[in-house]
Amino acid sequence: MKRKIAFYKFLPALCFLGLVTGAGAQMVVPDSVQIINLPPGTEETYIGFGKQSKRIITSAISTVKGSELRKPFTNSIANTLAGRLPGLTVNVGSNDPGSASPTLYVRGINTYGFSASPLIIIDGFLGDYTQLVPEEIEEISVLKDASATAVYGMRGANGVVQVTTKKGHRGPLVVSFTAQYGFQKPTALPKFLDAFNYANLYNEALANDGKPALYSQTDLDHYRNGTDPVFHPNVNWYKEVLRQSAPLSNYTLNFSGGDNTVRYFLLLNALGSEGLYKKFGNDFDESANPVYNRYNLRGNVDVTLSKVFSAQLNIGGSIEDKKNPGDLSTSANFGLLDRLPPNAFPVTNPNGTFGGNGTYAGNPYANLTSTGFSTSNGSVLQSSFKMNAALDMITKGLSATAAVAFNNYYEAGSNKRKSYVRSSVSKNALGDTVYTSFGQKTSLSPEESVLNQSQNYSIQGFLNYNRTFGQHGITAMAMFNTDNYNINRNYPNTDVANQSFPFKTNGGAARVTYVNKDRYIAEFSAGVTGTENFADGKRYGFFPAGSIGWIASNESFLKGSKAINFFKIRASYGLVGNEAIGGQRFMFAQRYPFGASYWFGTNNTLVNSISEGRRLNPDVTWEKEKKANIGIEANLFNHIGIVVDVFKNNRYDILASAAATLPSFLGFNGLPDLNIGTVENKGFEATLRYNTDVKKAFQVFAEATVFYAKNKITYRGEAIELNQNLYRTGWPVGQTFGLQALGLFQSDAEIATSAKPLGISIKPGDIRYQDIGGPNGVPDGVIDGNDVTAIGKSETPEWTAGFHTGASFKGFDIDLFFQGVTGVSRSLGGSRYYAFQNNGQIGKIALNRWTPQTAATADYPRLSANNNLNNYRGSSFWQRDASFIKLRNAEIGYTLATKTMTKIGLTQTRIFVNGTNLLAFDKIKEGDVEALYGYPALRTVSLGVKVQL
Amino acid sequence: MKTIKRIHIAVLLLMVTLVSCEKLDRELETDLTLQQVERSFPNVQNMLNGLYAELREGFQEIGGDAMMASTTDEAEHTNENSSVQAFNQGAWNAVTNPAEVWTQYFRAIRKANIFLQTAAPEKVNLDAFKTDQTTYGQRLAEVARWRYEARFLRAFYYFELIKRYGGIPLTTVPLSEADIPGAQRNTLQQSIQFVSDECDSAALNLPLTYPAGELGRATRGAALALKSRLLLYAASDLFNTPSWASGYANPELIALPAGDRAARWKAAADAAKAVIDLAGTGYALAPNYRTLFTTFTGTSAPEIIFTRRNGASNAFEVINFPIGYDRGNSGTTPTQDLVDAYEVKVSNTSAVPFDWNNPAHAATPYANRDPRLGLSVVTNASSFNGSGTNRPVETFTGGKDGQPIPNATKTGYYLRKYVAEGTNLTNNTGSAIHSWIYFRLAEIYLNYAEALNEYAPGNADIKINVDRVRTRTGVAMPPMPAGSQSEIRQRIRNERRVELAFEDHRAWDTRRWMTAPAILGASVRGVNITKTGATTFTYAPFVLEPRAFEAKMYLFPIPQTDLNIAKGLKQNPLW
Repeated sequence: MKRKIAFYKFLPALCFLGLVTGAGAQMVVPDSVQIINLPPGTEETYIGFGKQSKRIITSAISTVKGSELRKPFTNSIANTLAGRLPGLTVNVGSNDPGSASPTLYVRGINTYGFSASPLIIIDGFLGDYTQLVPEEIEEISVLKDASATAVYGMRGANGVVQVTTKKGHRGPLVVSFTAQYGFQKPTALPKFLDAFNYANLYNEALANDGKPALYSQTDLDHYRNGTDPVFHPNVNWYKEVLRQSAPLSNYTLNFSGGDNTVRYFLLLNALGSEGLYKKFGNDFDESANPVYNRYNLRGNVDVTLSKVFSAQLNIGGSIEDKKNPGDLSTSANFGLLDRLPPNAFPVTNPNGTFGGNGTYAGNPYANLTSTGFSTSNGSVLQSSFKMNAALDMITKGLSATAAVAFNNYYEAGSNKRKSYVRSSVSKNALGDTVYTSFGQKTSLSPEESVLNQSQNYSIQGFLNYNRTFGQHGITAMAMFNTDNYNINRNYPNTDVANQSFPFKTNGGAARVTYVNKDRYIAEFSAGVTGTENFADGKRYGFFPAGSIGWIASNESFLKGSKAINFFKIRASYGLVGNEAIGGQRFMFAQRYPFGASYWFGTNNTLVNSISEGRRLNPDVTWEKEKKANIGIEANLFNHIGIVVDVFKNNRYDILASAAATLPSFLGFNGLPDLNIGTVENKGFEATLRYNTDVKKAFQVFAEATVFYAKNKITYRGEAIELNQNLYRTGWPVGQTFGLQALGLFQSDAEIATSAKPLGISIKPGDIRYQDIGGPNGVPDGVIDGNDVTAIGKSETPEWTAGFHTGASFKGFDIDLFFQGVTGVSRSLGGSRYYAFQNNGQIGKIALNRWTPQTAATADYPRLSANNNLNNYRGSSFWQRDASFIKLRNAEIGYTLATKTMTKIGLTQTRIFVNGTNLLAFDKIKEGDVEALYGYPALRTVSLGVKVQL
Repeated sequence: MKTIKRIHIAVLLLMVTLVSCEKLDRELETDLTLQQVERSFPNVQNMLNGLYAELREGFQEIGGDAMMASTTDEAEHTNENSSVQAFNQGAWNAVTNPAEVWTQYFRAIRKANIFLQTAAPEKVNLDAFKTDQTTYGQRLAEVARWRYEARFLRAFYYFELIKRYGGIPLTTVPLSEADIPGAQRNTLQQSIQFVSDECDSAALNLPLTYPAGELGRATRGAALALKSRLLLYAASDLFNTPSWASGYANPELIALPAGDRAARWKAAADAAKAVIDLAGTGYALAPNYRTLFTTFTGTSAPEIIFTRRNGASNAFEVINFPIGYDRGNSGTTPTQDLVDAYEVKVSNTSAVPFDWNNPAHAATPYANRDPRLGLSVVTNASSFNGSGTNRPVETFTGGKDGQPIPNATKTGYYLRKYVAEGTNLTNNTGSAIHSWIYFRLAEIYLNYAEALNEYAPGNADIKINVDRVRTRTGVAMPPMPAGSQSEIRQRIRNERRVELAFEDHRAWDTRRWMTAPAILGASVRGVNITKTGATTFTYAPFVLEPRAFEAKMYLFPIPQTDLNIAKGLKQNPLW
């Protein structure tokens, strides 16, 4: 049945496909089943500026195929990477269509400097991966150790995420069309109390503050019975503006194939996502339905011009259209939704005006129906052209390549906005209904803006050498590279204040790999990079790395072993840099900026001043990291694969405060940051795989990965603190700091004898904190900033694990992927969790609040209608263990028998049902652990079909 | 041939790409360099302005809201979370010092040293003025004068450091990282001598007055006034009594060598006299003791010798308005101790100290007081005009401005001195110019009288100068009666206390007199006021807060960071 429905739905597309003449039949493996090469043969994978046989790789690299990334069905490729690559930590970003911005870390965080984010490389050039779709990606590899990253020189220290797009291969034309359609539902919505409970507890809060009740019994009855929706409204604002689910769809059409002269891969992808807002555009002329569409185009063409020359053109682009009612960003609306009490005002008043009052800036419903709409239009062009020349006539195995890349990114906003009138409704002394208006109604007016832009070009030249002399195999590469950003709003890892100037880096790299008897491998690689951000003469850095490997399974004593099919041990060590140091650009030069004003004359005339600026740092330089890595790769019993890597990274020359390095009597107008900081990071990655014999009808595979990275700040140049608890040194980067909560005060007697904050009246039921420090470095009986200490973990997990399994049998296939993290903390805060703060509402979290009766079991402080400065502040009380295990995706597919299909011209047809983020196990009951604020996390269930001819 | 051609093509390919690899350099420079600054007349002038901008304004001296007065027996700061409270608890040290100015004044000194290297008449480009000989001559003279303004300011910044730390590292050139190992504190004597010499030099070259548009620049009077205060401090007990830190290895850092105290007092007296006798300045006491602190032009101008200028703002009013006035936060509240220091005027020729044991005094404590009390302090039932409300202030228990309102005054008083009454804070619209007076004529009179009394008791000038202050128009207190040297000393000290209240003298005067342990270490008092009728009240003073003062607090501790790095610097005693 389902099959029919699916076919019916995609009939127009199939008709279109029918027009395209098919090519000969071809055996295609369903892409949900992962085939693991056992033992690693000649399969090549992408390394920095090149490719290498997996067999002889001596560096730490993990890879994932683009086809794997298709399975979590989301609107952002970035969010799909979570857990897929051992060593890549992904803090998942927002699910708001088009605004995902996850943070990636390779092997955890290695620096507290400006950027710990990895370098992103698309087909050999700097680029932005977030606009790509899985269907155009052949492979993503994460380069982790020195041997893998040294060729990227001053940009490699944070690791490299290298994306390679698909290419055409010699063979008949393959046309492939995939359509996938599904629905997204929030995994969790915040749980707020209704008007009756709100009013009841508000009275309790007022009583706690020593104030009379605001709501009478009549009021409460109205709220409970819903008998007076105008003066006693009970609005579930989330329900008013969000729908239950929103559709998500993706259509891909691609062509690939080629002959000895031309090989091509062409792709058209259309992604559509509607977002969770209701479709107000249908009913309100001045609103619009939320839409997010992205169209990706790619044409990758390889041309063999002659025996000597070949050329390669890669063009990838995307057009992104986003439209939302009201603001483009949803954050302000979700902020209001989290704050607005259910009884604040009705959605609309009896006279048709929008409900509202002076306390809250708007009415969420009106914000979406009557403030117009906003759109953004982005276009990305990523293109490169390469010329290769085989120079065998000079010496055998030599070739040269010249390449140029142009990237352009532009995002403009076009909004049509207006404002509306909202009215509060009340009764006057005579009992008449009176409306008081707030705001002003205006007509739609257009606003145009540039939201973001960047433009850069790069040029590269390569010399490659690859030759085998008997038992000696030599591969060598030398290249140079220049990157120029003319417009750089989007320059990787820079801070906003400095983005208005062009950026430029020059550099080069070289690598020599020597393999002896297919057993002993030695590799030396190095990068040279320079940027204009450093002083003349100190602009270029040299980054060498060496690695060795031993394929023990090729030794005579293991050759032919049934237990050990493949065994390699490898080690690498080297130096890599990080130029994204932050701070003022060009800090090697002394600046003389304008400063504080002064006043002279009887008329007190303002005059300007110029002063020496922050002290220059003439020696400012890049961060450096010494990376050591030892790894083993083994294939056992023909079915089991093991990869284990252990690493230690020592980052140094991190730009850090000079507070402990330069005395203030020198009189500098601000101490320069100096390259003095250090961080140490240790960890490991392990992968264990199993799969059945490729030839069997029933196939099962399973892959478990786990990785761990824990860093420690070893030097930070911090100013002296008498309170040891305030030092960040010795803790991981990003360690959460706050007050240590000791539970809730139970009695006035306990309060009298305990430390507490000054100037705040503390009552039983308030949070009690540990008095750790004071101005003289000893506890002073006062709770303040001196008592802040490390609490819990950071928001970046120490442990990430993935479990990927699947099976196939006679056309049926199943695929499951679980991800888990631990060693991570998150804190609850803001209106969603803090009851009644800033005139906010109250959530279910507060039900078990402290009252004299519930004193023994309460896990929430006493309620207060005031802004309580003692209870609602960063402390361990609000911190939660954010560990989780999630079923990131599950897919069941069926591939139709080839014989039937070939009759109608299709070589393969696969139908599949896909679920994304179906299950989660965690310790936070208040919401989705990855979306505790703002736009909800989404669960997607979809149906898809892939046809190929 | 074909092969060679191919090689050529390949090599060409590489050449093209290599050439495109341009030299790295900054493409755009938007920052001024020192060369660009020093060659431009207006830019050099801007550098000097930057030097003035380093003058601190005492209104929000500590933690952004408290005055130094709240570290003394003059006032209690209302906000319990203000860092000034740590001062009163004795919870300040070489790492945490809420009143730390070491960094700022050394920054200011560095600015001055850079300016003096930069602003030389031969360096500054005056080509634009060469067409007009008169203007050119004026500009040349201005550049020459600027140097002395800078030297005065540098001397002032050094003095501010000396009064806190004793001997400090002196330098007349900008220091660099290379100077850290050799850095040492100069002796107190060297430090004082340096500032004194700089004052002499500046005084010789600075003008007596400026045209209206330049009002606020350093004058000859300012340089001499600084010297007067410097030498007064140098002659006082603290810098002549190293015994408070017995056993300290470097007494030369905290005290002058033993010598002729009388000569030191005489030098101080002479320095004050030099200001008083300075002709052509038009210096005179202001006829209005209230507006002297709220305006700096008109009748106030003749009394003001040097002031920190400011733009209009209402930040001070927001902090210090009584709690019952819109947006007021009580801020600096005068203590009962200060209020008690104002004398009671018995007749035109006689005044007595206030005495709680005197039933008449205790019943109507604010009647017949030295007018400066009412002009400096808001007392219960006195009128206050703020945020559009003009009404009697109610600091009695249960009153609009009294306890138990959160953040109401704890002492029973509010600050009036400096506060621009009439400022409307309701819509954040009102604002006023606040000038922080560093030197005014009344202080010089009292400097002179104090120094004179120490080496020439009975000299007629003592009474003359004290009475000048007491009999100011609008104050008109009876003249100071005769007395012994010690009695006169006490009277002068009390006169200083009331005349210069809240002007950041008390903290340093009590230290240099070495009365700080008894005064700054004693509890401060407030008053409980009970309303007994429509306009009748009873008053009961009470102990408000214990204060902490240990001998080490005579001087500030050198910041620990600097000591840790610059090993040559010595910490002050007992820290």
